[in-house]
Amino acid sequence: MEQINEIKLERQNDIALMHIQGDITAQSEPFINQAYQDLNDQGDVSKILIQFDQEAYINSGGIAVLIQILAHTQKNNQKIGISGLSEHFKKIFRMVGITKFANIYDRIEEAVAAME
Amino acid sequence: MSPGPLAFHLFPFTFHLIARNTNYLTTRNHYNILLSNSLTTFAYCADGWTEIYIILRSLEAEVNEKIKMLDERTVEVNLPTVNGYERIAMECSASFAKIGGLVKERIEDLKTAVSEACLNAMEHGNRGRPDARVLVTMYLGDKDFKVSVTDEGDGISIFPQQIDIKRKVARLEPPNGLGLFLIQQLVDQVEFNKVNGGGHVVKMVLKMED
Repeated sequence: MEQINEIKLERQNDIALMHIQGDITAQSEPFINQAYQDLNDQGDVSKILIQFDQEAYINSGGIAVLIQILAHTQKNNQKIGISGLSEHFKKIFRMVGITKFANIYDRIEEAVAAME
Repeated sequence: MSPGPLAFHLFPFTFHLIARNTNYLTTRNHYNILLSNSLTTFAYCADGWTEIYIILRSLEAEVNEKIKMLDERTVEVNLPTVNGYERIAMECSASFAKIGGLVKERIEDLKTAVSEACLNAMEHGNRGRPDARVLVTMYLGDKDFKVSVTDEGDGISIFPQQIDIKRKVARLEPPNGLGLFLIQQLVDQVEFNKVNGGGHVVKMVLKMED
């Protein structure tokens, strides 16, 4: 079954916002990779906030895609924030250790205030 | 009297008409599977219109058998090895566990564990083979909820204890391989066993809170 993730890119001050719509699975890889590339092509990206849908289903394949993005951001010295996760997936992300590389926030406003 | 070449050629059109009018046409994939099965069967039928109706009914029963209640406490879901179909087992197990009183947070744990077990079964156990199946059996006990996920593979030889996210982010090891770890963290008990006669089963248990 074909899966498509629509990803909206925008800026809030010096923070690049990546809003990923839909479920996050291994099939999300080309969309997320392309969005990350497009963000960097805009230049001067030192802070990135990744926003998920509250109802998104995220499996281990999707987390693996995010880990690959974290590998790039670490190499590029970019600060990463994550928001929009359900309580369950906040727990999953903490369990896996993503919080060692990205801060998780409850809301976009909180994330933007903390990352500025 | 066997159908002539004209009747056989007309069959896909008549099938489509009957399927559409009787709501058998659910998804395109469903339609294609039914159509290919029906063409094979129709070639050996004697009477045209009557046999078409019988074929559709029997195929509906076959499709419906893929999700069934074995008894009042046991549900079985038979999935194709197709990414995305693990969602059926997820939602089915969630609904069943909710009936038994499993709390919301644990239902979310259950859904993720079932999803990961099914994905492992499809990708590693069945190696993505489209003809291989994943059998998910759910049992609602008095004090626990059990789910077993069976594939047609040989099983795993290495059981993950912990994962090292730093190594994965540093690209010193692959970013995947998180499924078994998540299952172990999210359920109360898990076993990995070979099946007599072939196959591998993951058995998971979540305890109901008092």
